Amino acid sequence: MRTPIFRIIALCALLASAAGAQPARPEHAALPPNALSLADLGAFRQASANWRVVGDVSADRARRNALATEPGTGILVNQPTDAAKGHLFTTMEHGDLDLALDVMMPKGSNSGIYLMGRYELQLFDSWGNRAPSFADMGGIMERRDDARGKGREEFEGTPPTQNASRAPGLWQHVEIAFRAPRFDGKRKIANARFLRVVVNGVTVQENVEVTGPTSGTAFADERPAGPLMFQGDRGPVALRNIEYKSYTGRASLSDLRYRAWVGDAIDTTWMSACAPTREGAVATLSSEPARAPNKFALAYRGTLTVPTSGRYRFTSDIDWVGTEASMQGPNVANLRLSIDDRSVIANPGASPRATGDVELTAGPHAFAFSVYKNRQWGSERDVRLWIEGPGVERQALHDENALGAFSSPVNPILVAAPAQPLVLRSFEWHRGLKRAYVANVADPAGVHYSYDVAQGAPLYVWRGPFLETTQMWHERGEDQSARPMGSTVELPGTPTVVFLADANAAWPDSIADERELKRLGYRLDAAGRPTFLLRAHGVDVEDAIRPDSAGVTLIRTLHFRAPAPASTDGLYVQLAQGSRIVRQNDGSYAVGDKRWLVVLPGGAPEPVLRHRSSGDELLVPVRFDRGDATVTYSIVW
Amino acid sequence: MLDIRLQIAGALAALTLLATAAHAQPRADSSNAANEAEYYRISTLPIPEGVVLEVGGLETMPDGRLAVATRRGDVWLIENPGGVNGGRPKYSRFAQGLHEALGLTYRDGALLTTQRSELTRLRDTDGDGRADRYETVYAWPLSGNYHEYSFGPVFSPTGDMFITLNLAWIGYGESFVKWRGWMLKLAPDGTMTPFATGFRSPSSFGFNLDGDLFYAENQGDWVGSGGISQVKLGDFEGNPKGLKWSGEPGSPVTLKVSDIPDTGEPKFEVAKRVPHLVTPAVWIPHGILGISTSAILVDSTRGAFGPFAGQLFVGDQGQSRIMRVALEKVNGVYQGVVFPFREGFMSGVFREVWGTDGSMYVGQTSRGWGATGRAPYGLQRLVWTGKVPFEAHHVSARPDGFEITFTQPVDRATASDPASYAVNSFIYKYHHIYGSPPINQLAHTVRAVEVAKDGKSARIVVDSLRQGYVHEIRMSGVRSASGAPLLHDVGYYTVNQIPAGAKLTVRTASARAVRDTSSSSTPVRASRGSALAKHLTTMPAEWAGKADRTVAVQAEEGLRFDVGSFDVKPSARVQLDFANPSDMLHNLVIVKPGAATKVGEAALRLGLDGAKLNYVPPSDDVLYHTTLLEPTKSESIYFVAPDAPGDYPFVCTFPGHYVTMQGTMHVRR
Repeated sequence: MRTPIFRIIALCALLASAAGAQPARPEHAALPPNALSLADLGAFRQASANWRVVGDVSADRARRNALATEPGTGILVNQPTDAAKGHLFTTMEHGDLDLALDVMMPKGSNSGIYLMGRYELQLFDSWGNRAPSFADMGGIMERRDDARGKGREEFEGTPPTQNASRAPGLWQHVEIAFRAPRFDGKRKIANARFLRVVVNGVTVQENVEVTGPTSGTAFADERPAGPLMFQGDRGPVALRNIEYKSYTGRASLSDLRYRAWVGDAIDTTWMSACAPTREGAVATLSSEPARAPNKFALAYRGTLTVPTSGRYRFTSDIDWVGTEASMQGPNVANLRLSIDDRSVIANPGASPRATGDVELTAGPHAFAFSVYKNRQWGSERDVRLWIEGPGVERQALHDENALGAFSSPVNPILVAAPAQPLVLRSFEWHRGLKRAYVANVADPAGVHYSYDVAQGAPLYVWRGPFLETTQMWHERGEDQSARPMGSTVELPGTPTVVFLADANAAWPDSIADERELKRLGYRLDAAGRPTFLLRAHGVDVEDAIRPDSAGVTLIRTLHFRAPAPASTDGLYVQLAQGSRIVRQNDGSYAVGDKRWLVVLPGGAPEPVLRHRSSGDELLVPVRFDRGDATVTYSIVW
Repeated sequence: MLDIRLQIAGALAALTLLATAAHAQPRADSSNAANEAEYYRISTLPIPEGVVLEVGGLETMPDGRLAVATRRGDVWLIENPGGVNGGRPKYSRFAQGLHEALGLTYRDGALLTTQRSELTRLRDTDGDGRADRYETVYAWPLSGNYHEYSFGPVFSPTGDMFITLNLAWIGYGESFVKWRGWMLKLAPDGTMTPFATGFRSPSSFGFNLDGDLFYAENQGDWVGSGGISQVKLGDFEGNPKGLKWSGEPGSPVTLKVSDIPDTGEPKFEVAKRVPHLVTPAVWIPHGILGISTSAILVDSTRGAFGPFAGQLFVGDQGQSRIMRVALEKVNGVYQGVVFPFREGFMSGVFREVWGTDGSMYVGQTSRGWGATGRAPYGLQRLVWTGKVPFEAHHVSARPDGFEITFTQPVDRATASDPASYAVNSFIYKYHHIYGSPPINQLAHTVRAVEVAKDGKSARIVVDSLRQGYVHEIRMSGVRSASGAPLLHDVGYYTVNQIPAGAKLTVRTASARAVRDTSSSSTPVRASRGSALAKHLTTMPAEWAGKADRTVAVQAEEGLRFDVGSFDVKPSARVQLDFANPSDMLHNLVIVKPGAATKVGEAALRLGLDGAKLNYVPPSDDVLYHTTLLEPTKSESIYFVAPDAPGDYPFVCTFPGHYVTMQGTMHVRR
């Protein structure tokens, strides 16, 4: 669930290898963010009594604003009363800020994050709301000005592009890239902006300008800096893992000159021995001065000026180096970066990406960068270099507009949630493995899931948009995978129905033997919703996963029929598997650090909670009555 | 592909084969499509806006509706596909969400299709016109590679089902999981029998009217050229990757990967040492008659589609055309001849099926591979106009040559002249490398011709038929009794066996024998000097190690160059680096302004000689060119740009590529 904004994940549509690892480029490791200490309230200004630091927190899904706490540290909790309902301000003041945190909303609650104490991103229990407003989770709050006249006091406000929020009592992840207003002296010359807001992995706001403080602001004026504020006067909320990067300046390249070589015998010694094909001055780094897609070398020199002293991180990317051995090595590429004649990156084509750190003092430094492409084919020629440092946002030192100048754009192929239920088969990546037998099931109610028909196992559940199939249907579709859109919850993908030799036997990760589990296809009901059909050691299994009446959760009903002489001894259903499964006070089971919930119907027998080295498991022994059995539970997220 | 066995349900109107009063048939130089249209007309079915009809499977329902399975997983039913009585075909969706359905067969009220990992039966149990049961009949494993296509099912006359499983592609074919590279047989009770292996990309297969099973293979690794082969239980078709599983229980094949030599000898030579290695019944020469063999459809129309009953219509995806194959059995072995039949389809021909009226529906897709017909997909109908073209109907091997039977009586003077014919033979290498040039070419002397009394056939005597070889038979000089040339004057006969029997007595051998090669091929006339200038792969010494301009161009998937145009200055010394990271053969030919199509068409006409000329026609319009590059190969050529400013096209002249694979070299100051 936590995909911090501080890491850049770049998936690359390289040729899919047969089976095995996902063909993704490795992540660029960014500099670590600052963490707001939640050992106590020391990171905050004088806090009113409604704010506390606790060790654990849980919500009761049936009770409004109910948040139970356990003593300890690491979680910031607000439980306002009539007497105490103050906002909470950090001692840290910021301008441009990247912020990431986990938040838990109890049922019906309302809170907010005020950037600079002024510009609110709404936190709200918006679970299940189909038409979110600016006052819902991920919304940017409206402004208020009574001087505008009656009925016109409220203005602006930007709803999230979709409701990506989770059920009350689950940890949700919010990321905000915020840019402060700009001033020329006292005169404001640019409005504050939410560059991006990501809720549970879905970008719900992009580049939203806020013309002034939003409703409920702590300060009427606008300034270059202010404290981060958490709203305390509306409802309870829990926050944790509050991490940020605050930006104060930018690095710059100047006096940049290049030398370019084009020829057959490219290598670094050749570059130093031969006169360049051409040379000159340029404004930014790119491979364009080579004017050739292949067999070129480039060397840049210039001045890099950084605004603050401290540790800087450079990250680089070579387009034509791949993840396969044949696309790596000195016969493919070589990239070098040195600052003040000290080597920072030396990548002999070993990997598409390379990183180097260096301590720099504020001010100018000698910059030298070289790269070559020593291969005859492949039109990829882009090279990229970024810098990040203390108070310096990760910024490109290359010409971002040069990118893609020679590549063909790929039109995305998106499958919208249809008016009728749809079952769409595909390959799909799941936990680093390509699953080859996947059915993606869309429902007009807007709640979708994907399911491994060979394992009888749900893989993902999500609400919102349905599926991207570009990798499957564009040209030859070499990755051949579909990708769930919207805010997905990853389920374990382990087989659901298994015969265990005894109650302590290990649960298999997958089943290959058709006698143990055989797929028989699916049938559609009158509305077009599928029931998957399986057979396990002679026991027929019907697996129906349906939206609930509100179209928010999924209800899974497994029906078993064991014609004689099939044995049913040791037949179990796995409801969940995760790092930690906890029974909550409302009777639900929270899975994987409260990422999703298993909810059993009233009167159902208690499941077995097994704690194993591989994680916790929630199992139900299947009890037959005259050859029939049914297991029902809800997947709630 | 499925429909070879299809028996037409309705009674076919008995159509009289009218011999047309053959008048002069003008021959277009570039394409024969206009002439062909006089006899077989292509009409295009409308496709509703928003429907991406990348055809994977095609079937005619007993009620005449057409069923179409698509790559995107839909099964469409098309009412009134022929648009009779001025009506418009009406589409309704029967099923959706299938994983790349690449076959479709109607049986007992259900449609059967292959998805990537399973054979699926689609049933509509509530009669609302939409499938509500998607039943997994049989499932198989996948590694997750995109090239693991699965095809079928095809029913045998006895009710068994057959499916084929493509190899994965990772720069070469590979079988990661059981049974990739195999054909499987499923009995009606669901029992699976591994049937044969050695398949590479067996997209199409089916039974002829005698109940024998054939499949179409695509050029690739271990496949020198496309062709069609008979498949019998326990056969090994040639690509050894599937042999990985020959030790599994139930395998009827005992060969191991290590049993297969990689010597580059012709396949028929290797087959003498490797039992069960199958050679094609008919080689379909790569680049000449197609580049990616696709559909096989037997003419079961009993005359409704014209005079070719019992013959096979074999499609080609890359060249958007259909060939015609006439098989015979010699010494118990299938062999025969392939002729051009109809070109000019809108996209890649992939599936063929008979409509209930004896017209042919042609399902098409190019889906990332590109095709001469530029549309990404299409559905067309091929209708016989009722006129009989003047064609070689079939060819039979004789101990000393061939007997060619024509659709109409011939003109005795031209048909009995040996100079009207030319015969060349050649074969392909059998090796792990992708494809093969034609090798061991030999021009045969046509020593004599005897025309039958009824004027409907001619027996040609050829010195020394070559067993195992493809024989190109050109009949350019033959005219019909009414003076018309043949609609298609060439066929390629694969001689697997030479029949016993009486040889013809050649009475006037010395007088009439003609050693004829010139009529079949255009020799390279370019002088050595000019040839060198057109194709220079080392930098001239006087350039002193430096070109004025270095340009890099590469071939891309989908029959494109990555660079649409580049600039050079007049008289500049140019180094052009051409690379081919795609999985097809390509060259790059720079031609005079406006000459791209002309040169591309001239390359098409090179026929058998094309390969040795790198498909570069000997023409003044060709300025500079590369060799024909195999996948992953590259080459640098050096030339001096023309003095005259202008737009000089560069084009890949490999047959069928020139239509889309073009760019422009701008010569400007």
